[in-house]
Amino acid sequence: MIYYARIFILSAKVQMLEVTASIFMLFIALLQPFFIAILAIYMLRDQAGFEPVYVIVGAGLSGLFSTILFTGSNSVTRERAQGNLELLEASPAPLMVIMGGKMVANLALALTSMVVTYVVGAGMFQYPVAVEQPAFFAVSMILALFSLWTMGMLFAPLSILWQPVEQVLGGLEYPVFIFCGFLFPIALLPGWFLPISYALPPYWAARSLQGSSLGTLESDEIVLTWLILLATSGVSLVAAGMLFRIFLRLGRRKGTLGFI
Amino acid sequence: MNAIELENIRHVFRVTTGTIRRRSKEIVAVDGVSLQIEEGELFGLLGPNGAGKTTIVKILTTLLIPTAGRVTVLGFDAVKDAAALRFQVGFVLGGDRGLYYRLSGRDNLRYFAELYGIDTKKVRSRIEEMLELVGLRDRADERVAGYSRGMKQRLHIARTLLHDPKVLFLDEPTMGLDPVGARDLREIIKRLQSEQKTILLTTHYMFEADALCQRIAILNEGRIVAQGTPEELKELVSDQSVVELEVFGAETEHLDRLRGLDYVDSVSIESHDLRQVLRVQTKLGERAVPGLLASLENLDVGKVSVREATLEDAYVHLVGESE
Repeated sequence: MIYYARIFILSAKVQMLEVTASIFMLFIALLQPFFIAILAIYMLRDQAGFEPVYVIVGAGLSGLFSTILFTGSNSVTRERAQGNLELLEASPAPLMVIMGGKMVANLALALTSMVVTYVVGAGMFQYPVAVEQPAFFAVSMILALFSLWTMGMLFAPLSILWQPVEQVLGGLEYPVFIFCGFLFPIALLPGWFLPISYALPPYWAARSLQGSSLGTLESDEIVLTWLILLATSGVSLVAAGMLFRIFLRLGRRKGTLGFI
Repeated sequence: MNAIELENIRHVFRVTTGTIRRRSKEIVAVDGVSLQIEEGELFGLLGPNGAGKTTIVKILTTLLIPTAGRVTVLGFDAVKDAAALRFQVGFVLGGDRGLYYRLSGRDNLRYFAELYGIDTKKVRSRIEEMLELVGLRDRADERVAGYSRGMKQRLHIARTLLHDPKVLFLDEPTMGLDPVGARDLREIIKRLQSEQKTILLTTHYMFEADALCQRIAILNEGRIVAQGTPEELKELVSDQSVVELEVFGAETEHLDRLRGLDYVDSVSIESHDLRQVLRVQTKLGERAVPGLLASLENLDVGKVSVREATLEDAYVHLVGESE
């Protein structure tokens, strides 16, 4: 267990150095949520019932999700391009533990999205962005980060087999923003969309973060949201574990671990 | 006792092309290779590009699952017991990739020491020991991005030795190094062999294989075409002489003309700027020279010499053509 913890922590440190030197990742984490926040505020501020906190939290979440979406698959692609993926896989350390550590570093970078959107709302537009239920918000944020970490772990093994997977995953950005109600409530979507939203951990993350910021959820509702968030994230993590095992074996059969 | 055993190994890669009309074709990288390497032996694997050398190394290091056949290293099945085997082996793949360029040399080693589960108390001293062995102690705290190719290759060696593996796979470790760097690396390999490590070395350099390896297998198009000690392989061409002709502007037709002579066994060409050196293997020795010159009548011919065949000539003879 200590062995895994040490690999996890050191992998996070190594990834932090790698990811902060990537201009693309800095754009995704810092500039994209900045523009999304401005766009959403201009589009929604004249609507009845406009809640700046909802938009700011939603835009921050969109930045968090985009960063995880790209860094998740990029973590594997980057290792392959540098010729390190084979060295990592040939070591006794499980690749899933290594990637788990790297994903924590990706999350730390992604958190800057939240800061950026807060600065846009409170600084540029002078909106009061006080959180109604700070304790619930803090727990919701921790659980939201965990759920996004599991999503990143789900995306990572895909690029073991398919190298252009990043471009394909790029297309998932806006559907997830819509299905998870990052910028507007999913109640506005057609009814048949809802089961898809309910199956996605980021939906429950957005619901608990936005609910606790606005104070619109009762304690029992927010606890239920957390439990569902944990359950859907748990399913993602189990699925990620299976994908790592299956795709690593296939990668070893097809020889895709070492190609650039 | 054998440290490495390959039984009838075959590996086929499937390559697909096209977006809408997908076409796939199979490339046989390794075709029925069987090998036994003894504990403590330094074994060389020679062959042209695409012969299957790296594929074999990747199969032995658990990075590839062979399409068919059985592989054991130190008694571990390389497919079924991959997790246990990984603690016992180390490998260096050719080239200067496979390092974290933004980290220092020492931090690279520290990361891999953690991955191999080296005792925390011993990590620091082991890293120092390895840095000393490869002569990188003075530059260990600099970022790898600023290292020369030779330094990166030495760092690879240090990384691969951190967990004190019993078996080493060195895939073209001296590729692209300057002569001094390559010589230093060969000294390290000799030292490792004196510590009774089992080493599988792949290389393009015949003199390197001749100087280091106890036994050699020559691989061509996925198959072993010859195997033995360097002396046994040289013996295959002991009745041959090599005529070297310095020429200017040789083309395919000239080579074909030489190959068409019934006393010529093989012809290879090496280019140096405007000048080329043709190496012709023949049993006739000096007596072949007039006939060879007559076949090259329209060509400017410079220096001509005749010498005995070497391991490199044996390789050319076995593989057919030089690359």
